[in-house]
Amino acid sequence: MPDTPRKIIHLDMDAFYASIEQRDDPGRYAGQPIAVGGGPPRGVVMTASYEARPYGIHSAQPSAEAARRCPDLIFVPPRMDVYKAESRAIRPILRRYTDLIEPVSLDEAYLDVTTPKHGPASGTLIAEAIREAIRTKRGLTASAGVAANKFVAKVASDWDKPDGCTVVRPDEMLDFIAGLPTEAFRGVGPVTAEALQAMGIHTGADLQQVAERDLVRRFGKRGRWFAAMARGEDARPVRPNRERKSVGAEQTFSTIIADPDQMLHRLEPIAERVAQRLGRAGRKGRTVTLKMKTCHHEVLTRQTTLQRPVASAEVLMQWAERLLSEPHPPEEPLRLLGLTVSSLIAEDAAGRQLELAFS
Amino acid sequence: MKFSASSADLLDALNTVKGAVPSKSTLPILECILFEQSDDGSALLLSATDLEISIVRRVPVQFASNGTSTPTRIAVPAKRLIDTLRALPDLPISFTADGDFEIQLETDQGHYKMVGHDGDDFPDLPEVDAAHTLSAEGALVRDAIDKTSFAVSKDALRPAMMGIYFQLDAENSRIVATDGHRLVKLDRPALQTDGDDVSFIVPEKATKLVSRILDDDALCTIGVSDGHVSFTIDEARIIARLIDETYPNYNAVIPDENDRQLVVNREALLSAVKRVGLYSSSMTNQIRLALSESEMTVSAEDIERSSEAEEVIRCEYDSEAMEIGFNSEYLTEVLGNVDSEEVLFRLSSPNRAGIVVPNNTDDPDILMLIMPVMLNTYA
Repeated sequence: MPDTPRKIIHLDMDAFYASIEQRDDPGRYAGQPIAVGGGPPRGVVMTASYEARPYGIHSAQPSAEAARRCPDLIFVPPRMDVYKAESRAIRPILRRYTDLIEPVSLDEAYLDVTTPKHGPASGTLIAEAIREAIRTKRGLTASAGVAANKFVAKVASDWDKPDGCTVVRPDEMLDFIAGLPTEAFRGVGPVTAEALQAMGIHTGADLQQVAERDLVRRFGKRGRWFAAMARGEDARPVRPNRERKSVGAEQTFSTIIADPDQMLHRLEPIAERVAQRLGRAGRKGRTVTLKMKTCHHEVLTRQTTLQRPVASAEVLMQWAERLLSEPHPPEEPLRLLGLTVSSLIAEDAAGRQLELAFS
Repeated sequence: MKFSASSADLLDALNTVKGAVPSKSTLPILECILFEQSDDGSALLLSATDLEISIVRRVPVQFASNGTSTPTRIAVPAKRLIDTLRALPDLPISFTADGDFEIQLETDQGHYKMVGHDGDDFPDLPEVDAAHTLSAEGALVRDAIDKTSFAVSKDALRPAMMGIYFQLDAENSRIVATDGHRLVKLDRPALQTDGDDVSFIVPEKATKLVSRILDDDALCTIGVSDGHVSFTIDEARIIARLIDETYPNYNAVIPDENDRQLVVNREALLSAVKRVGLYSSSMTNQIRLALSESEMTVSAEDIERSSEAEEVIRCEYDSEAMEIGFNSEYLTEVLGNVDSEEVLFRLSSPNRAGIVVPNNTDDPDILMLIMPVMLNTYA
């Protein structure tokens, strides 16, 4: 751990997409249970307003199920451009205090304010000032967690949501971690939680007590990471240039596929998904990788780097088709196909090479 | 087949044709060079092809007259033969191929044996039944290729742009290349046809090979048929399959209302762009030109590597101050392919194509376009 504790803020906008819709059209949505996302029968909830949450509505839920749970739920189609613009508009508020900002998504970011650009070096005061500025300037609320590392800051921001601010001082950190259920630890999902339970580990306190070598024996590298987190040792820096390195999707098939035409056909929805994810991230990429797993579980990849970055499913499919057929179609039947786009650049941002508009 | 020749002469000829030998091929015989006796028996013809581009070169050699004439065609492994000749000093060698396609090279100090293929299995080279021919000085053709080839696209999804476009007629001729980011248009009145208009797209690789073997004072004869083009230069001939696509309408993207004029010393700007470009982001190569009446600031920054650079150079600019971004590599190539002492930029706005022409010529024979890079205005 560094000698002087760092001051990290994890800032998390409250029901970001839904709050923007409620702010922009209060007559229709303010105080109402709304869900941003595609409506039933096919759609999925992206964000639910706080009014909808008591009904058990949450993100990634099929809209059909959400509508069943809350018949008054209003589905609002997403306006990603507006959310992106809002995220950009909030950025200067953060940048007033530090340039060490690591955006995690449109509605979430880490800030390192150990030596702020402005005002006193108090994580608490800065977090409150930022929350206040977001409220008055943007009409939205955010929750914040303040701690000496990213892991604890992230858990803390969720502690008093919505519109809360939780500060975990360095001398309180170990006690705070001790009180956490293991599921709160980064990298612990339901399966790992169950495995931990089998070892008699239910909380952070249990993790603090168990010998690290037992965790390592059971979980390998991850075990070492769990032990370090339990001791409050998370030295991951706030990386301002953190950006997605690649965007991809893959599909394992229930039956193996031998016919190249069939493979192409199966690639289409995968390309659609990759294009959608690129669109959501506002990125284009210059490297396309085709991944193939044969019926013998051998993984093959073919890659090409392009002069003009791709973003659309259509162009992605053109490259996928070339990669699939050149130098020759796969010689063995496949059980998995995947597409990844890397060497990403921002779609709209600075640095984009403009093109002559040939008709 | 049996002949003797100077190893240097033979190597020189092989070096000409090897440009068409594919480095790796599914057809092993393509990694060979075809040796055959010319019809009149006075010379050796060397041929190589990758099935898209073929090169034939004639070499005068001394054939043995004692009847050992089978076979008359043999395909010789290109790499081994060239490597051998390259490692030899210039001395007389004797070349023999027998009916089993065994090849013997002999010098007065050693002998080298390899096995070739039956020359009759070598693919036939396309006949260019030229509907149009024109001849021009080698220097002229090479200059046209060299000034445009940098802008040729490598994007396989836009095949039309993967070659140089020749649009020839009796009045004038234009040679164009573009990748959508840059465009070069040359006017070359000297390259005129005998009357008919003809236009065709030559794959970039073929143009590079032509440029490589063209001597300034050689005569280059260009023949065009429906599907192929041939360039005949002295003893060599390059035949290429044309790119069978419609070339994009380049005239439509050349702006005519760019009224901001910038004149700058070409060499000064070129070297500043090269230096400052070293400090640009490796992803975008973005450099920024900030223009004012009498000077321009060339700057770049790479936030990830915490590096930045800035230079100020003199210029004459006749409009209100403006900042415009370019890919430094593209700008370097554009400036490097103009001959004049000063260049004239005709600009309109930071997100529109800029025109670059030599300054002080009323009717410039070269026009280039360069598309800007979007600047981050908040920085």
